[in-house]
Amino acid sequence: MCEGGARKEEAQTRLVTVKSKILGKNDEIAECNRNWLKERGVLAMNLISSPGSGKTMLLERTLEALDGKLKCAVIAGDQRTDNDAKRLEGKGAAVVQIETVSSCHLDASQVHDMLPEVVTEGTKLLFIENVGNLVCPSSFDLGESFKVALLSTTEGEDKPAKYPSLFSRASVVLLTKMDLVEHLDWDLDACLASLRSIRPDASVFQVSARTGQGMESWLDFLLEQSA
Amino acid sequence: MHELSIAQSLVEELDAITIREGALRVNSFRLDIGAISGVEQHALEMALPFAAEGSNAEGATFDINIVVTRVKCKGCGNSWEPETFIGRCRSCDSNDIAIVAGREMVLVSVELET
Repeated sequence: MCEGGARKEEAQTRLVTVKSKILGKNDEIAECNRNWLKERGVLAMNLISSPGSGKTMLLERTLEALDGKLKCAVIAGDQRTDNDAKRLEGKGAAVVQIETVSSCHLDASQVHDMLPEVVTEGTKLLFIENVGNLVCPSSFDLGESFKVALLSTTEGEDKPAKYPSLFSRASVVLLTKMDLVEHLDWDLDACLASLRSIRPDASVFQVSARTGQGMESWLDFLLEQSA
Repeated sequence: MHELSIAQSLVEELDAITIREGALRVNSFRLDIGAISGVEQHALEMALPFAAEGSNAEGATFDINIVVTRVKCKGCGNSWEPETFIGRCRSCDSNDIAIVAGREMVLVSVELET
């Protein structure tokens, strides 16, 4: 008690103005990744969506279609298992899996450690398949060229308005599982209105990786962006 | 629950500041958190004491200031604070809208015990 009191009397306080970004270290590493990729002419996309919206299936079909045309690489993030990496192997692209264990997102340093292994000479496109989660991954810059949000028709129309932290940052949005629309009470106009209310200038692609519907526009976009 | 990662980054920064300033410990600190930063205030409030255990910021108190979202039309310069929806410019109907506030995750100031 006395000791504590004496310490209290002697203690002085000082206010320091900092104004530093809390994720400043992540942002620095992300910027380093971005420069590294830019020097090598690699277009990098950070794919973010709910679990089960079809990221891996979209990548399977995308890699198959681009095999021999454009050298691709994939970093797949999940809490556990290398199931996604296994699904994506043998399609002409270098694939690595990051198991985040308890974490709900990828961060820039995890991507940084994988880049030299997965992005080899001549690589044009890097797909970073983030952990399935609509919220957390949007806060962490990985050094990508842009963010791609996937929204499957089974998730309903109003996710963009409900999850603005992701949809306001994603310049490209893929509406996936479009082949299921006929079985659902899903309204395209309502979905687009929700998206436009958050990100009016987003490029939108309506696709079904299962039937191939709309995949051509998506692939053309990738070829054009990587040129 | 990425608030724990954010809290850990913050504690690392607080530790570094304490050492750099030659201080004993962190008494308190202030944060600016944007309304659409993706950070949940209550989750961050829960995570910070855990992340701070054993650090120079253990037991420190903190204030979180929520920064409201503000957007600006790149076409006509009109600026407003959208509640939920950002949408097109209410003045010139442009869709080229910049978010100027609301994404902050900033350590504003620290009170150190020296």
